[in-house]
Amino acid sequence: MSLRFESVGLKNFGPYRQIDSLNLETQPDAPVVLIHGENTLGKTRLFRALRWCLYGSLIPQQPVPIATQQLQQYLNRPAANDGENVLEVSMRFTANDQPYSLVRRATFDGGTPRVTTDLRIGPTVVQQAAVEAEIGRLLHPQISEFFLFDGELLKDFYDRLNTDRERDFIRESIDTVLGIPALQLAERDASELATDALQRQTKAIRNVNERDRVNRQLRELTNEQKSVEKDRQEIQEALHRAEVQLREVKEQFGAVAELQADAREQETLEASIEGGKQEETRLRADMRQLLTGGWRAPATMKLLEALKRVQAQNNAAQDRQQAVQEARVRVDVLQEQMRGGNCMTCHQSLPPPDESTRRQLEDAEEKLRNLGEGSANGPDLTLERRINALIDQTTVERYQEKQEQLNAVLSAQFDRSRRLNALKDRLKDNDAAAIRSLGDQQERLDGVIDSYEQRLKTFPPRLADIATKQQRLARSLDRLPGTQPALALESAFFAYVRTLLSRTIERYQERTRDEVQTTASSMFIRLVRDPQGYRGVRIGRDYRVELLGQHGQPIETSEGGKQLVALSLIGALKQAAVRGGPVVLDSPLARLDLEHRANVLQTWVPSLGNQAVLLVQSGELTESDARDILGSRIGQEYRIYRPNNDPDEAQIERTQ
Amino acid sequence: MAQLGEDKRQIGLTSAGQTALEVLVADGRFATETDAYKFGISYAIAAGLDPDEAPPGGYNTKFNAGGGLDIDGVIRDLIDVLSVGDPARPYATAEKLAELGVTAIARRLEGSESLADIMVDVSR
Repeated sequence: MSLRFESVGLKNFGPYRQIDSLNLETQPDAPVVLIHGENTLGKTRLFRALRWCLYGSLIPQQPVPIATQQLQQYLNRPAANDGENVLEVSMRFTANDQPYSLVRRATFDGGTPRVTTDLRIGPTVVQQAAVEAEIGRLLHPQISEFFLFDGELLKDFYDRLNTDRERDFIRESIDTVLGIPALQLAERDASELATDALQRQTKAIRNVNERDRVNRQLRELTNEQKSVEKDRQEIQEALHRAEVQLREVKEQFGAVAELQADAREQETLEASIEGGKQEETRLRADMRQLLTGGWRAPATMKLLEALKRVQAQNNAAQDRQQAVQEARVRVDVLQEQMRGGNCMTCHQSLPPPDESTRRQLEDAEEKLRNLGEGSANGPDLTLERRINALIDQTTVERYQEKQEQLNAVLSAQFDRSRRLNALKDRLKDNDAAAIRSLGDQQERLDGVIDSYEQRLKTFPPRLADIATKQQRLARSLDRLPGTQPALALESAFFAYVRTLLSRTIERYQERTRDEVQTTASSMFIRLVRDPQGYRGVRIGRDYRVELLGQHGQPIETSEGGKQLVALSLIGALKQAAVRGGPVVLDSPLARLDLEHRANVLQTWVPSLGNQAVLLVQSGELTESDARDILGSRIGQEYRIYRPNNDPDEAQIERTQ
Repeated sequence: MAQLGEDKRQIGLTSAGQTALEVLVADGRFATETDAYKFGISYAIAAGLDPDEAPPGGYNTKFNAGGGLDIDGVIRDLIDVLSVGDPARPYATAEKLAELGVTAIARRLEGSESLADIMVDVSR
C-alpha cells in the first residue's frame, strides 16, 4: 500500500485558529517533514489533531465518545469567545494513487458537540457510516501507535511490551492487521459459514431428534390406545356377564317377588310384635304400680258414703250446739228478767216480768232440757279428716285407662300374630333369607351394570382424545424435514476450511512475527553504539520481547537500551503493518541521549517509510542540527510560534 | 297367739283363700301377694261382704299385721272409720275380709272379668 499525507488543515483546534493547509508532501529522497516547536506551543495539539481527524480519538485506544466529550478543551478559546462554535481538522492524502480528502468537524451547540466526518475519494463521497471502515482499511486504528508515535511513550514502551496486556496488544495488532486481512476475513467468513452450517446441522439434528420424539410419542399413543381398547373390551365382557347373571336372578326373583314382599312384611310384623310386647310389659307394670298405691280404691264409694254421713252428723251436731246455746241464752235472759235485772249483752233494763215472762221461762227451760239430752256429742271433725285421707278417687279411673290401652295393645298383637302366622304358612317352603339374598343380588348386579356402563361411556372420549393427539403428531411429523446428510458434509467442509485458514494464518502470523523480529533486530543493531555485543531482538511466541547478547542469551539493558529496543520494535512493526505508509512522530528523540539521537535520525527515521513527519523541540533537535543530520532528506520544515505571545494563538511558518 | 278379746297380730288366709290369692297374683296383676291381700280387704269392704260369713278358722299366717302388712295403719283405719266388724279387733276383721275378698275376686277373674271391670263395678 502506498499512502502519503499531502496536507493538513486546522480550524479552531487548540491554539490553531486557522491553518488552511500545512503542506506535508515529500519525495522519496526527501521523506522527512520537520515541525519545530518548543514545549507548550502546540506540537502535541497538532499531533492529536491528526489522530482525531483520522479516528475521532485524541489519544491511542481512546473511545470516540470520550474524545468527543473532551473536545471542548480543544476548541480555540479566542474563536469560542468570538462566538465561533466549529472545530475542524482536514487532511488530504493519497493511497494507492487515489486522492483522499478527509474532514472531521465538531459543532458545539451546547452539551456534547456534534461530530461529522466527510471523506471523499476523488469525486466520490464515502457514506458517513463507511468512513471509519475505509480509514481502517488504509490505516487501522489498532496500529496507529506505530505510525502516530508519541515519543513520550517511548520511556515505558519496553516495559509495557513485557506486560501481558501489551503483549496481547502486539499480538492482536499482528493477528488482526499485519498483512493478513484477506485471510482473516476469509477465516471469519469460513467460520461464519461453518457456524451457520453447524446451526443448520444442529437444527437438522434437532429435527431428527424431534422426529424421533414425535415417533416415540406416536408409539406411546398407539400403546395407550391398545390399552384403552383392551380395557373397554374387558369391561364389555364383564358387563355382558353381569347382564346374564342379572337375567338369571330376575328369573328366579320373578317367581318369588311376592314372597319377598311377604318376607319383608314378616320382618315388619315381628318387629311390631316385639314392640307390642314391650308396650304390654310397660302397661302391666304401670297397672301393678297403681294397685300397689291404690289398693283402697275399691272401698272409695263406701268411704264417700261414710264421709257424707259423718259430715251430716257433724252438721247436725253443730246445729244442735247452736240451738242449745241460743236456748241457754234465752233462759238466762228470762231468768234475769224475772229477777228484774239488766240485759247481759246491752246492759239495758229489762221490762218487768209478768205471767207471760214466767211462762216463757218455763218453756225455754223445757226446751233447754230437751236439747240438752242430745247435745252431749259435738261434731267429730277428726273422723271426717280420717275418712277424707282414706279416699282414693283417681286410681280406678287411671287403672281403667291403662286397661283400655292394654286391651288395644293385646288386640293389635293378636291381629299381628294372626297375620304373621298366615305369612309363615305361605313362606314355610321358602327361605326368607334366600329371598332377601336374591333381592340383594339383584340390587348389586344393577349397581355393577350401571358402573360398567358409566365406565364404558368414558372410553369414546378417551379414544377420541388419543386420535386427536395422533393426528396432531402426524401433522407435526409431516412438517418436520427429513434428515439432511448434506448438512453434515457442509458443516464438516467449512470447519475444515476454517481450520485450514486458521493454520495458514498461524503460519503467516509466525512468519510475520519472525519478520518483525528480524527487522527489529536489524534496526537495533544499526541504532546501538556497540552492535557487536548484541545478536538482536527476540520476540517470543508469546510476544515477550527480549534483548539477546552476542551469544544469543537474553540480557538486561539500560534505559537507553530499552528505548532503542522499543524504537526498533516500533519501527519493525510499522514497516510490517504499514508498508510504504507515513509515520508521524511527536518528540521521538526527547528521551534519547544525544549520541543516539543522530543515529535514530539518520538510520531509524528513514527506514520507517516513505514519509516521516517529526514534531521536535529544540532540546531534542535544533533547526541547525536537523539540517546537519538530515540534510537533503528534509522535504518540508516548519516552525510553530506565537505571533502575539498568546498561548491560545499559534501559527506555523515554513522555515525551509 | 292373741288372747280372747285381743286383736290378732298375725293374719293370713285359709288354703282356699291362698289358692284364690294365687289366682289374683297370676299373670302379674299384682306386684306382690301383699298388694293382692290388701286389695282383697278393700274389695270386701266395697262389696259389703260380712266378715261373720268368713270361715271361722283354718287361717294360715302370712303376714305380721301391725308390724308389716299394715305398718302405716291404713287397714285398721279403714276398718275403723267404716265400722266394719269388731271395732276392738280390726286385724281379725281384716283377715276375714281378705279371705272373703280374694275368694270373690278370684271367682270373678276366672269368670273372664278383668280387674278393671271389678274395680269399676264395686266403686259404683
